[in-house]
Amino acid sequence: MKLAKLLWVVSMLLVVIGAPRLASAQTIEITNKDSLVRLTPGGDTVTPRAVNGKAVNYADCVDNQRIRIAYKASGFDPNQTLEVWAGQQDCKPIEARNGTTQQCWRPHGDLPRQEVGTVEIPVRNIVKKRTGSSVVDSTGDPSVCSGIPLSTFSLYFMWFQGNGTLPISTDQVDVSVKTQGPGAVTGLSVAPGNARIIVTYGAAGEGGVTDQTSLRVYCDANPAATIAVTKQVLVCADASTSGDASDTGAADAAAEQPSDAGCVERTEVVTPSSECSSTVLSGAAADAGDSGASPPLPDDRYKCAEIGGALGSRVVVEKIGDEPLVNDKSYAVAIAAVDSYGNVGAVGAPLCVMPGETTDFWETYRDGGGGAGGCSVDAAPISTITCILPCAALVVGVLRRRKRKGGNR
Amino acid sequence: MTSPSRAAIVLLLPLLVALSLPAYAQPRWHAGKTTRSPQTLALELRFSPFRPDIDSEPGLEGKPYESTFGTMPRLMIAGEADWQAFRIPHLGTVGPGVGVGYTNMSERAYLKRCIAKLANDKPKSTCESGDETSLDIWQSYMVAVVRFDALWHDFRVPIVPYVKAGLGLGFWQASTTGGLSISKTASGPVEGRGYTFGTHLAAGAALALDWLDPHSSVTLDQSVGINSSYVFFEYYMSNLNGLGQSEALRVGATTWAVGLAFEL
Repeated sequence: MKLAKLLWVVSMLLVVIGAPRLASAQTIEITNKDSLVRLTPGGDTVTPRAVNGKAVNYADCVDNQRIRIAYKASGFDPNQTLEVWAGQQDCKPIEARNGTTQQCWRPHGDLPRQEVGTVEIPVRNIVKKRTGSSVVDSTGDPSVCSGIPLSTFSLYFMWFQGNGTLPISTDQVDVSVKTQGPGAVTGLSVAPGNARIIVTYGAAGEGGVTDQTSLRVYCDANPAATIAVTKQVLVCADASTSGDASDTGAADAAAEQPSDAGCVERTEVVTPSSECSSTVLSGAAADAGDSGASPPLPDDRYKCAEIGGALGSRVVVEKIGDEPLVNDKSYAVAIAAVDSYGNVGAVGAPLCVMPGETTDFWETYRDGGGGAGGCSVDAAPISTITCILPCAALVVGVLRRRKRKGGNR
Repeated sequence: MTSPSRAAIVLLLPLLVALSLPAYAQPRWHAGKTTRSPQTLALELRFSPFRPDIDSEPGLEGKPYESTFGTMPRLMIAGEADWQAFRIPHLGTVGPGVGVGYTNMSERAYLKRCIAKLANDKPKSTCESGDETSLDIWQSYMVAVVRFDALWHDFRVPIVPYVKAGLGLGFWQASTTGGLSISKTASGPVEGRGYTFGTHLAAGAALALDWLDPHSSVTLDQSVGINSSYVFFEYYMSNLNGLGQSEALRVGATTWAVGLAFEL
């Protein structure tokens, strides 16, 4: 009896002392935590952006990119499984992976039991929250990419022995994700120029857009329609007017009524430059906003300018793609901010504008019979020499004088 | 022209005040005269209202400058360096000087299609476009300068009259928002840039600031070598009307300048 008790105590000691040693034999280590590689669906490596380069943005997610993770494992046996779990909290506790309290999900199936391996996990599977212990593939659903504020998703690599147990060994890597773009830029105004459009807008921060690294301008060369507006304008004898008659618009006087102080009130049908619609730009604007959902952006072929930095408030558009703007043709213009994660924000309501020939002092002077301007474009090399000749003569003269003076010393 | 005239009065006021002040401070300065460092150079920082004479070109129809940039003069900022090569006793200094300056005028351009159908009762401003039309002028000149500083050095009257005469050269460039302006002519496109020769004449008077605080003046001389400091008013004629040139943009102006001068 005593012997049996002794054997029981010894065996228990062996279990208590030996079990952790056996458990600690399984290890898992993620070896590229600081240099995670993103891959395109075609397998090409994505070059990280200069700022927030490691983070996943909306375009990365829509592009269906994958994140390649390298790991080292050891001490495993055939009864154990190496699983990957994703979540925004600690996934090690059982309740985080099971039942009604589940907060973690599986973005990828079991990993092969090998000492050195790599796995490519789709971004969409990482950000798509779900329940259950099976892997659900979300790679075919781009809607999962929408509206994610700056978040950290952790990927847990865990050794398990049996279902519903605590992991034997774990390692984790964090992935930053931000797919929510900045809000709409306010204060857009457009002005016609000579085969160009001058776009001005509120500076970053004025409309609540604080994280803005560039501003993108979209142009539609075929706006749906300009919106005619009827307005009452007051025209006074001193030529000042309370109306806002516009250059681009056809302004037709419809009726005139005398009023006080020598002014005449009249109804005008105007087509202001600021009101029009564009199917390709307005469609995007309709879903835009800070509500969380990322809007469908206009196609890149409508992008007509992009200006870097957050300090600017003016950009000149002269081309859409390779096509120069044409005078006396209407264009719809809309703008969107781009944040430091490369997310394009909500596209504001489009405005219409029609470029046209503008007055120029030089042309006015020449048209008036002015004869100056010897630097002909056609004779560029000769004219350039002629133009710099006086300066050159002056410099040579000074140098020669200095040389002579130096020689006399 | 109202504001420049007012500015002239304001700037002339110190001169009048200076002349009316009693002379009891003069002997104090006189005591430090012997400690003065050699004087060979005068440097000027100049500001002047500037409206080029472009519209005075013979044969020019209308007033292209005025119709584009209006009548408001622009600010010409300039600098001048004079070598005081010789001193004529009891008269002043004589020597060559060079000056350079820059000014720019820029206005909103108008849409031609709008101007063409603009109703009489509507202001031209309703046709403003997003484009700008501008003219840059770089003024330069080489002059002989005579400064009659005997009044100040010999008789303690803190006024130094001076005259300048020489040749001027102006470089200019007309631009739009899209870059250099180019006019299409029958003989081909012509760039809106060039240069204009002319003469440069000036006369002015400088008030010696040393007179206000002789001791500080001596200290300034001993520490950084500035012999005298002046505030000056000058009337000048930059006749950049194409001296020796058949066609030239008249980018000169007859105007006045104020500024600070330092003799080193």
